[in-house]
Amino acid sequence: MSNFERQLRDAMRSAVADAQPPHSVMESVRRRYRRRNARLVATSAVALVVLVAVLPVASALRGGGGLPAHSHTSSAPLFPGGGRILLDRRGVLEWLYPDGRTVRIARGFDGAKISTGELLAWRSTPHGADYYTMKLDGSQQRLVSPAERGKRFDDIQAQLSPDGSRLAYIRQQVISERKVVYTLWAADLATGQRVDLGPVSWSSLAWRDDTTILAASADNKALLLVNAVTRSRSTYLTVTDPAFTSAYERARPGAAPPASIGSDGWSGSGTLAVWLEGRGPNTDRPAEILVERGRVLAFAPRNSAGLTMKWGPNGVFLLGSHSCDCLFGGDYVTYAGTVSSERLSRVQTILDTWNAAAVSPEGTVIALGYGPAIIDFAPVPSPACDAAGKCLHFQMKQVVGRGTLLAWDRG
Amino acid sequence: MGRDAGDSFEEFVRGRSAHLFKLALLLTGQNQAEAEDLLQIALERAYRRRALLSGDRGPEPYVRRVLVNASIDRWRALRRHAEQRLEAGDPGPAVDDRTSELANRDLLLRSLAVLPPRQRAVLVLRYWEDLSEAEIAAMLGCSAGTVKSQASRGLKRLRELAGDSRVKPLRFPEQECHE
Repeated sequence: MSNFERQLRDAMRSAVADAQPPHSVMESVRRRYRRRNARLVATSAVALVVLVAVLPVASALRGGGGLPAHSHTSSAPLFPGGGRILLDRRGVLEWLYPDGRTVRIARGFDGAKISTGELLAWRSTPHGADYYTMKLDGSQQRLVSPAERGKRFDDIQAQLSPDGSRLAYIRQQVISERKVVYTLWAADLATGQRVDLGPVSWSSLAWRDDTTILAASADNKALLLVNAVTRSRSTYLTVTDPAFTSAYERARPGAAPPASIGSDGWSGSGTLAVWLEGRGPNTDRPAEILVERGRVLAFAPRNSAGLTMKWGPNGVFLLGSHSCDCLFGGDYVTYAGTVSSERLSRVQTILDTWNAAAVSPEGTVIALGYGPAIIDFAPVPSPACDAAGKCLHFQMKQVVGRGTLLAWDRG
Repeated sequence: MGRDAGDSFEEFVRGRSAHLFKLALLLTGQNQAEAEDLLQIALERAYRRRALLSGDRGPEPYVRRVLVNASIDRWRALRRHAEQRLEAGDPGPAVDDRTSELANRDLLLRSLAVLPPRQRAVLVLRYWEDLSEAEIAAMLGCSAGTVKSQASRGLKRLRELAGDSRVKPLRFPEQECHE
């Protein structure tokens, strides 16, 4: 070994001699594993169930009556699109402004989202999550739903009701690696009382009004409306609805009829997003269906084996598409669209999938978060950007090392 | 009742995560956040396969391979956006030998950080992990000759960089290891 090689070896040894991984490595690995597992388990579970409830909702769809309508200074902004971005920086929640300023608002949380004008933040525990609400500046923190000590659950997909009086969440109980049970719960934040609203699928949760929750049935054959007060549930839409099967057929010509359904919630203007998926080899391709005032539109990227959907302002939505259901390889493509444009535009292709996405408050810029370190910024492509009244043009920009993307707020 | 794969895997993480984190740090050019993310990705993939990886060799070879490949993939995704630049600071006043040694070490590490990830991975595996060229070749899926040439190119480039701290932005053709 030459002297230079020895120097290199010594330099590397000294550089990492004292480096230590985060204390919670195993917990982080489990969280990442559970998120992925939840999708896979649910997809395989629906293949076991043959329960079809055919209800005449097509007329409602056609008529529309049944559906709701640190300091950093730089001359150039750190990111385009204005507003402020909510980040999780190793448990510290902070706002990042375009001029690079950061404002810390809370610490010790595993995640947060903006829900009905407040922050809903949570801390994971072995017994589920402790949920807190707070103002957007971090003030008035309040533990609204503590984890139930002595039990071992994971709570996923928590959402505040529009009036902020109730918290709905899906409780995930891992029976074994092949069996996971999901139950819908609602907590009254005034009294602290929790209500078991029965089995559901992991995939869907959205408030329709202050007391009604949209969720998918445990077999992913129907979307249900569940009343958080009376605990009543009714079927809202089914996978065999003729409007859906025909939209799916248009999107995936020649594919078998869709076998499972879930929702991606409502846009701010009342458009409902529903995902449909076929069953079996070569026929399980997903499609995203948007329902708005009687119109049923299908979006189905070619070569897509998996879709992730995210609503933004002005009816802009993002679709993340992965070309194979595999551990390695495949393409990840992000598309943007609106109901009015009726078509998807490609944003980017990248060798990894985003774990968070947001659209700027004006609807002109897309932020895609990759792990805890990387946020990509891209212009909302035409024609989706027309909804904002203007389209921006800039080279994709990247912010590295500032934290995990959580949300984009007008500020 | 015997221990299950989950217990073994937790034991593996407890015992080896510090070493694997150091490897991730070197592979990412000492980017702490990227290293944490890479380690999570690699361990989660291994966790999924823990039952298959519970043989004599355990999950470590698999985790190391994922770390290396993921660091290369991540770099490919990033390279469109930013060329890294070695900023040469003001040379300042003369320094004593110990300080000079530390400065040289720092420059060497910063130079290592701007190498293409495959060259960097080869050097890290060769000189920090003490793996043989054959072992590295098996991990990267290429011949020992390719490993040798990558190491040689990497060392040559490091010497150039360490000899000239006023480095221009680097543009490397990515050397594929598949033959």
